[in-house]
Amino acid sequence: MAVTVQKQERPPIWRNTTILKWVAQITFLFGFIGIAVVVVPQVQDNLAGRDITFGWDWLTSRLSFLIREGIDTDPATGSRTMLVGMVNTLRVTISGVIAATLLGTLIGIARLSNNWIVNKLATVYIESIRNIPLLLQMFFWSAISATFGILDPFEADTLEAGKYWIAATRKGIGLSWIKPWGGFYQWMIFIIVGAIGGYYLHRHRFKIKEETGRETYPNLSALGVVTVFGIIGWFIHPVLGFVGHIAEFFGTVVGAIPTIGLQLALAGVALFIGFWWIKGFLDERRTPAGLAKLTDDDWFRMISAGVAAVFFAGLFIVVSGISSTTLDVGEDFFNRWLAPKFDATTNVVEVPIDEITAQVAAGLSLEDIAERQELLVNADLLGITAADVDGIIDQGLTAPQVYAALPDEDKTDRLVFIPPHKLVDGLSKAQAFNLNVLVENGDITIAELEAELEKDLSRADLPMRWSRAEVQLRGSNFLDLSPTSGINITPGFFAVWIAVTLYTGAFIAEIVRAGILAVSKGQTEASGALGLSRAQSLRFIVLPQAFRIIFPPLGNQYLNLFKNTSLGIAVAYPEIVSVGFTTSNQTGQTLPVILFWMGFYLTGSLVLSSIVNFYNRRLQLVER
Amino acid sequence: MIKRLGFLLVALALVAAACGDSSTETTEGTTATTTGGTDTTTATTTPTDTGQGGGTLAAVKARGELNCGVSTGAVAFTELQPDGSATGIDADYCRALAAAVLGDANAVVFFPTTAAERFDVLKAGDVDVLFRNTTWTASRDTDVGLDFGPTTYFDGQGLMGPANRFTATSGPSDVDGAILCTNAGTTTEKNIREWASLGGASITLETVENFSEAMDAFIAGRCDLVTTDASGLVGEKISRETSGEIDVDSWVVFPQAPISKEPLGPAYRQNDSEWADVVDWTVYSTFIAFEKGVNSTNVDAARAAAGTDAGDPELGRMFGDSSPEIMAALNLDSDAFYNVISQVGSYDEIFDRNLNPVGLFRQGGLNDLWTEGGLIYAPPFR
Repeated sequence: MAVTVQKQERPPIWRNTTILKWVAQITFLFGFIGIAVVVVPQVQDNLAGRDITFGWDWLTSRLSFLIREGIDTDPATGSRTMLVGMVNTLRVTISGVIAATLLGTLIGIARLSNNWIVNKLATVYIESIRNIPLLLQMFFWSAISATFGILDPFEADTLEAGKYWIAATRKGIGLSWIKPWGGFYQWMIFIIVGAIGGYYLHRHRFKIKEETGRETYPNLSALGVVTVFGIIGWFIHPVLGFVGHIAEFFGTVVGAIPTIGLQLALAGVALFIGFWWIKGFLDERRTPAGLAKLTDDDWFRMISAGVAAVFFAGLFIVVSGISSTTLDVGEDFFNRWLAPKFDATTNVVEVPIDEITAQVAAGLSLEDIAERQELLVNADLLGITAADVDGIIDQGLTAPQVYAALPDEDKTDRLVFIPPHKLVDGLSKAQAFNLNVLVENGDITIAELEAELEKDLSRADLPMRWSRAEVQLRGSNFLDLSPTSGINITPGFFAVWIAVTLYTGAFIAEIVRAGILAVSKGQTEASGALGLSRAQSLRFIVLPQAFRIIFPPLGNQYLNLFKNTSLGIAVAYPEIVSVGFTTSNQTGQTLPVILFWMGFYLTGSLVLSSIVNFYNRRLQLVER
Repeated sequence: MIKRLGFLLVALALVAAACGDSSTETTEGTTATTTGGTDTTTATTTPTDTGQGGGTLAAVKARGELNCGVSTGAVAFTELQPDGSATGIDADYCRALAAAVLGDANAVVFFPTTAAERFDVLKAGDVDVLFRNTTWTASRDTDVGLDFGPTTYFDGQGLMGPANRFTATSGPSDVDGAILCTNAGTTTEKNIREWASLGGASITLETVENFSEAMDAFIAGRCDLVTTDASGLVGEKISRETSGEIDVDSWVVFPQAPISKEPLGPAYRQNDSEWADVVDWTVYSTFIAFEKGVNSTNVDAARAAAGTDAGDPELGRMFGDSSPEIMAALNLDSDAFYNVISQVGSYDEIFDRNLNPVGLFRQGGLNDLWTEGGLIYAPPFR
């Protein structure tokens, strides 16, 4: 019987998977571009038809409204205004996440407590908080803050000016706090070195413990190393002042790089990463027998990687602003931010104490002296000479105001002033502000002032200082919390923070409880049989296992908290939504501001969830 | 390899064809849209061309109701009632406009809007006009995409604080170091910053969503002062004094010369001249009635008198009796302004009815008639 070998027929075009795949990919791509081409002009047309303007000019123009709190209460540009809002959102989010996690864990464990009262209290807390809308809770806490102490010198029951451990007032809550002081950054270097040493010591001693079973106290010895470094550093940290010179050197180097250099470097990096990825991809496909046959998908991937690399390289070359901004930010970071922290910068003008007292005796206020120094130190940035300073002081203008009044073409993109860290020989602008009130009220003689200044000078290099909350007189006889003593929590921040913390904490408590209950009872019983106490069993056996279960839903709660802070507008907390709302109304640019919000929350949520996912992957058992 | 290239070519050809098609479509789509847009513009900018019905006026007439954007609550300007109606000078002008366009002052739907959202609501077409104590500024007139009608109340921004530390003559130096409350999305935020920095005062500004919250914060002592238009401050002060919530004159509004000019009036969508004319002349008709001493009680007699040879010819034209062609050009019924005066009243009537109870008087101020030294002035009706 003859065997007929059937000739392998090529399938017709409409069933050829190779062709179909390529056609599908390309059609989809062009379809997407086509839709964009149709939709974008349509949207633009419709917006124009409704007289709704769309543009981004507001990011660079001055919006001219004040913000209650944040890194800058009188921002110079729209983008900086939005930055203040974003930082405020992140402030309340990060502190809220930490507090809610601690609170939730405690309450979750308390719900499983054998102590009846603790158990029931935790239940009541969870059930009541979880079932009340968050917005109402914010209003509640806002109303609570309106019952605190009065700050008005014209009211009989006002809080007096002075220092307090805690000053709960209607204008905000002042808490005593440990504050980083003049020598903080030098000291931190000691701490970091100590921590690295402690880490390696811990690893070493832990290894011995595991190998020999001998108790080597790895945790204690690591802690000991950090403590020793901390104590030594507390006293000798000024020797590290030279770091400032190094930072300045880096700043100079970064400043000397031409923009085109960084453009080319970035483009090169983009192309290299693309090339490197494709190479790695091909290596992966390489078998001992040679390169495996590449599928169509493989081709798509490599082409996309190549296109993306070329796109980014072109972007860096065409948009020179990316490179010049990066260089500016880098230079500012080293020169204007880092170097002064180590007090080794040469362009800080200091005034000796006897000159200060002489000027005060001559009728100048301490604040004026500090503001004068700020003008002198930033003279280059402001385009003024030392001779102009007196005239500017007479007009009652400060360095930021002079900067704001500059014509646009004279403004550099940089808005970072040399921080008034040690303008007046050990006396910061903030301290000058505090002392000034005493001087103006005649509560302090020149001799006492000198003593006070010397005391401040002697403490100026301390790494940290205990700073008590302070109610002070301001301006024309108003009482307010001192911006420089302790930490101040505004009523808005208080309401948002405590509401999101309690609310998210209740959900986290339930997640923690569920996680603990999900660990099988046998584990607890086994640890009991081994002779572990209840606390030990929780710490070593149950919680590590429970944590794997807890972590994914915990990440969702963090995302919720982040997004819930947008309710802050209701209690006058200037977060990104509140600030953006005012911005859009002052400029008429509603749509761009909404896009800005969306971009911010999307970026924030994606970053947060990728952090959570990263830890989640590390926590999970490696399964095979 | 050649095979693959062949496929690629075929694929590319297919795509090119598809692409060509889609680009043609796109162009057509865009052209169509643009033409549509131009059509609309033509319709709205040519008052005589009403047959197409693209403008706000035709939309209001077809709907039979006027959608009027008002405040969520501003004493004497807009006070919302439980039944959905509203009182106040702004609310009365909504009613006047409804009387002119629809012949019925009650054919109004009031849309309470916050300061921050009002312009978006207007531009999105949810309301036909804003009578919402809105300040006429250059940027709103241009950038924001609005047009403004004649000012119905000349206001100025003021501050209010406790009388035990401020007087009517207090100035920037007296507020140095204070915390001020105001509501978001208004001109006050910019004015106060400029006023304080010019006066060398450093202030902290607490911005809340609605003005009522600013008042709450002020009363609670969360801020030392509260700032907004002087009329609003006086309104809040008087209404609280009347209700006995605070002692008389325990608060003071200052400074005497307002820190800004705040002309409050109607705002409507840009480039709709037909509608702009209707809104403007409705407001002017109340001014003219004020000037001629006509009000809702004597309007019938005045109309009858204007019809006689000895009558006032301007009133005759305004009431549509002697020259109905003006009313026709406005696309209004010939008795539209008669309806305004008879159903709502003249400017002085509207003003006195709403603002006198809260201690705001027009006599001798900017809101008096031009013949009395004020700024209330209407172009001649002819």
